[in-house]
Amino acid sequence: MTDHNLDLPPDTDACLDRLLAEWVEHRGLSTARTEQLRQAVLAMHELDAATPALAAASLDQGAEWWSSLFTPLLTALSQAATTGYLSVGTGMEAEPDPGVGYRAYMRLA
Amino acid sequence: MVDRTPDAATSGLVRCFNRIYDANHRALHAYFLGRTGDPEAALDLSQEAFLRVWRNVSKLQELTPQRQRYWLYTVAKNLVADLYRGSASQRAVRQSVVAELRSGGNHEEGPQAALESRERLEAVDAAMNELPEDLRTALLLQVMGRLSSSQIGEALEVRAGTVRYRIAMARKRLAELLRLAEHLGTKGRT
Repeated sequence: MTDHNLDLPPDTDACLDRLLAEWVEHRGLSTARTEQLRQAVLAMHELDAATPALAAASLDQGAEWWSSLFTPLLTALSQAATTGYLSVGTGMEAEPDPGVGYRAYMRLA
Repeated sequence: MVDRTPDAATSGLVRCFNRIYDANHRALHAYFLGRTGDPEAALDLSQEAFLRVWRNVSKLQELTPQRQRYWLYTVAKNLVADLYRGSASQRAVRQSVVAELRSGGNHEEGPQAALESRERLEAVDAAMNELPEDLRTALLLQVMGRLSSSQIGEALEVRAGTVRYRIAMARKRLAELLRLAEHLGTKGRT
Protein backbone atom coordinates (compact mmCIF):
# COMPACT_ATOMS: atom_id res chain seq x y z
CA MET A 1 0.00 0.00 0.00
CA THR A 2 1.64 3.26 -1.04
CA ASP A 3 1.65 5.90 1.64
CA HIS A 4 3.09 8.84 -0.26
CA ASN A 5 1.79 12.38 0.19
CA LEU A 6 -0.53 11.42 3.03
CA ASP A 7 1.38 13.14 5.82
CA LEU A 8 -0.04 16.50 6.75
CA PRO A 9 2.19 19.41 7.75
CA PRO A 10 2.60 19.44 11.57
CA ASP A 11 0.53 22.61 12.12
CA THR A 12 -2.29 21.31 9.88
CA ASP A 13 -2.13 17.95 11.64
CA ALA A 14 -2.38 19.58 15.07
CA CYS A 15 -5.22 21.85 13.93
CA LEU A 16 -7.14 18.84 12.59
CA ASP A 17 -6.60 16.99 15.87
CA ARG A 18 -8.09 19.92 17.80
CA LEU A 19 -11.08 20.16 15.44
CA LEU A 20 -11.75 16.44 15.61
CA ALA A 21 -11.48 16.43 19.41
CA GLU A 22 -14.04 19.25 19.59
CA TRP A 23 -16.31 17.51 17.08
CA VAL A 24 -16.14 14.17 18.92
CA GLU A 25 -16.92 15.90 22.22
CA HIS A 26 -20.13 17.33 20.73
CA ARG A 27 -21.19 14.59 18.35
CA GLY A 28 -20.14 11.53 20.34
CA LEU A 29 -22.28 9.85 22.96
CA SER A 30 -22.34 11.92 26.14
CA THR A 31 -22.30 10.15 29.49
CA ALA A 32 -26.00 10.96 29.92
CA ARG A 33 -26.82 9.62 26.45
CA THR A 34 -24.78 6.50 27.15
CA GLU A 35 -26.78 5.77 30.30
CA GLN A 36 -30.10 6.53 28.56
CA LEU A 37 -29.23 4.03 25.87
CA ARG A 38 -28.24 1.39 28.43
CA GLN A 39 -31.45 1.89 30.43
CA ALA A 40 -33.59 1.81 27.27
CA VAL A 41 -32.13 -1.58 26.33
CA LEU A 42 -32.56 -2.95 29.84
CA ALA A 43 -36.17 -1.70 29.95
CA MET A 44 -36.90 -3.41 26.65
CA HIS A 45 -35.61 -6.69 28.02
CA GLU A 46 -38.33 -6.58 30.67
CA LEU A 47 -40.88 -6.12 27.90
CA ASP A 48 -39.46 -9.05 25.97
CA ALA A 49 -39.74 -11.23 29.03
CA ALA A 50 -43.34 -10.19 29.61
CA THR A 51 -44.61 -10.43 26.02
CA PRO A 52 -44.74 -14.26 25.53
CA ALA A 53 -46.71 -14.71 28.74
CA LEU A 54 -49.13 -12.02 27.67
CA ALA A 55 -49.58 -13.50 24.23
CA ALA A 56 -50.35 -16.92 25.67
CA ALA A 57 -52.90 -15.65 28.16
CA SER A 58 -56.56 -15.26 27.36
CA LEU A 59 -57.72 -11.65 27.36
CA ASP A 60 -59.16 -9.91 30.40
CA GLN A 61 -58.21 -11.73 33.57
CA GLY A 62 -59.01 -8.88 35.89
CA ALA A 63 -57.49 -5.62 37.05
CA GLU A 64 -54.17 -7.02 38.21
CA TRP A 65 -53.63 -8.78 34.88
CA TRP A 66 -54.36 -5.58 32.96
CA SER A 67 -51.97 -3.74 35.24
CA SER A 68 -49.22 -6.30 34.58
CA LEU A 69 -49.99 -5.96 30.88
CA PHE A 70 -49.68 -2.21 30.62
CA THR A 71 -47.12 -1.35 33.30
CA PRO A 72 -44.13 -2.54 31.24
CA LEU A 73 -45.57 -0.88 28.16
CA LEU A 74 -45.96 2.43 29.96
CA THR A 75 -42.45 2.09 31.36
CA ALA A 76 -41.08 1.58 27.88
CA LEU A 77 -43.16 4.41 26.48
CA SER A 78 -41.87 6.71 29.17
CA GLN A 79 -38.36 5.62 28.21
CA ALA A 80 -39.16 6.18 24.55
CA ALA A 81 -40.54 9.64 25.21
CA THR A 82 -37.46 10.53 27.23
CA THR A 83 -34.93 9.24 24.77
CA GLY A 84 -36.80 9.77 21.53
CA TYR A 85 -36.58 6.10 20.61
CA LEU A 86 -39.52 4.81 18.66
CA SER A 87 -38.98 1.07 18.70
CA VAL A 88 -39.78 0.05 22.26
CA GLY A 89 -39.59 -3.70 22.15
CA THR A 90 -40.72 -6.86 20.41
CA GLY A 91 -44.30 -6.52 19.29
CA MET A 92 -44.52 -2.95 20.45
CA GLU A 93 -44.11 0.30 18.61
CA ALA A 94 -44.64 3.93 19.44
CA GLU A 95 -44.74 6.99 17.27
CA PRO A 96 -44.98 10.70 17.96
CA ASP A 97 -48.53 11.97 17.79
CA PRO A 98 -49.27 15.70 17.77
CA GLY A 99 -52.43 15.20 19.83
CA VAL A 100 -51.32 12.88 22.61
CA GLY A 101 -47.53 12.96 22.54
CA TYR A 102 -46.94 9.28 21.81
CA ARG A 103 -49.29 6.72 20.32
CA ALA A 104 -48.49 3.10 21.21
CA TYR A 105 -49.21 -0.11 19.38
CA MET A 106 -49.00 -3.58 20.85
CA ARG A 107 -49.24 -6.70 18.70
CA LEU A 108 -50.62 -9.74 20.46
CA ALA A 109 -49.77 -13.04 18.77
CA MET B 1 -47.74 -6.67 40.06
CA VAL B 2 -44.69 -8.45 38.66
CA ASP B 3 -41.87 -9.03 41.13
CA ARG B 4 -38.93 -7.12 39.65
CA THR B 5 -36.31 -8.19 42.18
CA PRO B 6 -33.52 -9.71 40.08
CA ASP B 7 -32.33 -13.18 41.05
CA ALA B 8 -28.65 -14.12 41.14
CA ALA B 9 -28.66 -15.50 37.59
CA THR B 10 -30.26 -12.34 36.22
CA SER B 11 -27.80 -10.17 38.14
CA GLY B 12 -24.96 -12.12 36.54
CA LEU B 13 -26.42 -11.54 33.09
CA VAL B 14 -26.87 -7.82 33.80
CA ARG B 15 -23.23 -7.60 34.90
CA CYS B 16 -22.16 -9.39 31.71
CA PHE B 17 -24.32 -7.11 29.59
CA ASN B 18 -22.88 -4.04 31.33
CA ARG B 19 -19.33 -5.26 30.72
CA ILE B 20 -20.01 -5.75 27.01
CA TYR B 21 -21.83 -2.43 26.84
CA ASP B 22 -19.08 -0.49 28.62
CA ALA B 23 -16.37 -2.05 26.48
CA ASN B 24 -18.09 -1.48 23.15
CA HIS B 25 -20.75 1.24 23.19
CA ARG B 26 -18.48 4.10 22.17
CA ALA B 27 -16.86 2.25 19.29
CA LEU B 28 -20.11 0.72 18.10
CA HIS B 29 -21.78 4.13 17.99
CA ALA B 30 -18.77 5.44 16.06
CA TYR B 31 -19.10 2.52 13.65
CA PHE B 32 -22.78 3.24 12.99
CA LEU B 33 -22.11 6.96 12.66
CA GLY B 34 -19.32 6.21 10.21
CA ARG B 35 -21.43 3.82 8.16
CA THR B 36 -24.60 5.94 8.03
CA GLY B 37 -23.37 9.52 8.54
CA ASP B 38 -26.60 10.02 10.47
CA PRO B 39 -26.50 10.58 14.26
CA GLU B 40 -30.13 9.58 14.73
CA ALA B 41 -29.74 6.35 12.78
CA ALA B 42 -26.52 5.64 14.70
CA LEU B 43 -28.37 5.86 18.00
CA ASP B 44 -31.23 3.66 16.82
CA LEU B 45 -28.85 1.06 15.42
CA SER B 46 -26.76 1.10 18.62
CA GLN B 47 -29.91 0.50 20.59
CA GLU B 48 -30.94 -2.40 18.36
CA ALA B 49 -27.46 -3.95 18.46
CA PHE B 50 -27.32 -3.86 22.25
CA LEU B 51 -30.84 -5.22 22.47
CA ARG B 52 -29.54 -8.23 20.53
CA VAL B 53 -26.63 -8.44 22.96
CA TRP B 54 -29.14 -8.54 25.80
CA ARG B 55 -31.16 -11.27 24.14
CA ASN B 56 -28.03 -13.35 23.59
CA VAL B 57 -26.11 -12.41 26.71
CA SER B 58 -26.21 -15.91 28.21
CA LYS B 59 -24.38 -17.21 25.13
CA LEU B 60 -22.09 -14.21 24.86
CA GLN B 61 -20.85 -14.49 28.44
CA GLU B 62 -19.07 -17.69 27.43
CA LEU B 63 -17.03 -15.90 24.73
CA THR B 64 -13.81 -13.96 25.08
CA PRO B 65 -14.05 -10.15 24.75
CA GLN B 66 -12.47 -10.43 21.30
CA ARG B 67 -15.08 -12.97 20.15
CA GLN B 68 -17.82 -10.85 21.70
CA ARG B 69 -16.59 -7.88 19.65
CA TYR B 70 -16.53 -10.00 16.49
CA TRP B 71 -20.11 -11.13 17.18
CA LEU B 72 -21.18 -7.55 17.82
CA TYR B 73 -19.72 -6.18 14.58
CA THR B 74 -21.25 -9.02 12.59
CA VAL B 75 -24.63 -7.99 14.00
CA ALA B 76 -23.77 -4.35 13.31
CA LYS B 77 -22.96 -5.01 9.66
CA ASN B 78 -26.25 -6.84 9.20
CA LEU B 79 -28.17 -4.02 10.83
CA VAL B 80 -26.61 -1.46 8.49
CA ALA B 81 -27.36 -3.71 5.51
CA ASP B 82 -30.98 -3.97 6.67
CA LEU B 83 -31.16 -0.19 7.06
CA TYR B 84 -29.88 0.41 3.54
CA ARG B 85 -32.23 -2.18 2.09
CA GLY B 86 -35.14 -0.39 3.72
CA SER B 87 -33.90 3.08 2.85
CA ALA B 88 -35.35 4.96 -0.09
CA SER B 89 -32.33 7.17 -0.29
CA GLN B 90 -29.08 6.52 1.52
CA ARG B 91 -27.97 10.00 0.60
CA ALA B 92 -31.03 11.53 2.23
CA VAL B 93 -30.31 9.59 5.41
CA ARG B 94 -26.74 10.84 5.43
CA GLN B 95 -27.77 14.46 5.07
CA SER B 96 -30.12 14.48 8.03
CA VAL B 97 -28.68 15.65 11.33
CA VAL B 98 -30.29 15.41 14.73
CA ALA B 99 -30.96 18.93 15.95
CA GLU B 100 -30.58 17.89 19.56
CA LEU B 101 -27.09 16.55 19.01
CA ARG B 102 -26.19 19.43 16.74
CA SER B 103 -27.21 22.06 19.27
CA GLY B 104 -25.61 20.24 22.19
CA GLY B 105 -22.75 22.70 22.43
CA ASN B 106 -20.94 24.12 25.42
CA HIS B 107 -23.53 26.41 26.92
CA GLU B 108 -20.99 28.11 29.16
CA GLU B 109 -19.44 29.77 26.11
CA GLY B 110 -20.36 33.32 25.22
CA PRO B 111 -22.72 33.87 22.27
CA GLN B 112 -19.93 34.70 19.82
CA ALA B 113 -17.77 31.77 20.88
CA ALA B 114 -20.80 29.45 20.78
CA LEU B 115 -21.62 30.65 17.27
CA GLU B 116 -18.07 30.10 16.09
CA SER B 117 -17.99 26.67 17.72
CA ARG B 118 -21.27 25.75 16.03
CA GLU B 119 -19.97 26.91 12.67
CA ARG B 120 -16.83 24.83 13.13
CA LEU B 121 -18.88 21.76 14.09
CA GLU B 122 -21.18 22.18 11.11
CA ALA B 123 -18.20 22.53 8.81
CA VAL B 124 -16.81 19.25 10.17
CA ASP B 125 -20.29 17.65 9.82
CA ALA B 126 -20.36 18.64 6.16
CA ALA B 127 -16.80 17.48 5.56
CA MET B 128 -17.49 14.15 7.28
CA ASN B 129 -20.47 13.60 5.01
CA GLU B 130 -18.26 14.23 1.99
CA LEU B 131 -15.87 11.45 2.99
CA PRO B 132 -16.31 8.03 1.41
CA GLU B 133 -17.98 5.67 3.86
CA ASP B 134 -14.98 3.37 4.33
CA LEU B 135 -12.65 6.28 5.16
CA ARG B 136 -15.14 7.91 7.53
CA THR B 137 -15.83 4.65 9.36
CA ALA B 138 -12.15 3.93 9.94
CA LEU B 139 -11.50 7.48 11.13
CA LEU B 140 -14.48 7.53 13.50
CA LEU B 141 -13.62 4.15 14.97
CA GLN B 142 -10.24 5.66 15.83
CA VAL B 143 -11.10 9.16 17.06
CA MET B 144 -14.56 8.48 18.51
CA GLY B 145 -14.39 4.74 19.21
CA ARG B 146 -10.82 4.90 20.55
CA LEU B 147 -9.92 1.61 18.90
CA SER B 148 -6.43 0.70 17.71
CA SER B 149 -5.75 0.00 14.03
CA SER B 150 -5.69 -3.75 14.67
CA GLN B 151 -9.00 -3.61 16.57
CA ILE B 152 -10.54 -1.59 13.75
CA GLY B 153 -9.17 -4.11 11.30
CA GLU B 154 -10.88 -6.93 13.20
CA ALA B 155 -14.17 -5.05 13.22
CA LEU B 156 -14.04 -4.16 9.53
CA GLU B 157 -12.33 -7.38 8.47
CA VAL B 158 -9.42 -5.60 6.78
CA ARG B 159 -5.70 -5.50 7.57
CA ALA B 160 -4.35 -3.02 10.10
CA GLY B 161 -2.21 -1.47 7.36
CA THR B 162 -5.32 -0.81 5.30
CA VAL B 163 -6.93 0.83 8.33
CA ARG B 164 -3.95 3.13 8.81
CA TYR B 165 -4.05 4.05 5.12
CA ARG B 166 -7.76 4.82 5.26
CA ILE B 167 -7.33 6.97 8.37
CA ALA B 168 -4.48 8.91 6.76
CA MET B 169 -6.56 9.39 3.60
CA ALA B 170 -9.55 10.51 5.64
CA ARG B 171 -7.47 13.06 7.57
CA LYS B 172 -5.90 14.42 4.40
CA ARG B 173 -9.28 14.73 2.70
CA LEU B 174 -10.81 16.39 5.77
CA ALA B 175 -7.96 18.89 5.94
CA GLU B 176 -8.58 19.73 2.27
CA LEU B 177 -12.35 20.03 2.66
CA LEU B 178 -11.94 22.25 5.72
CA ARG B 179 -9.20 24.24 3.98
CA LEU B 180 -7.06 24.04 7.09
CA ALA B 181 -3.84 24.94 5.30
CA GLU B 182 -5.44 28.14 3.94
CA HIS B 183 -6.83 29.09 7.35
CA LEU B 184 -3.51 28.49 9.02
CA GLY B 185 -1.77 30.54 6.32
CA THR B 186 -4.25 33.40 6.82
CA LYS B 187 -3.76 33.31 10.58
CA GLY B 188 -0.01 33.29 10.14
CA ARG B 189 -0.12 36.42 7.98
CA THR B 190 -2.29 38.47 10.37
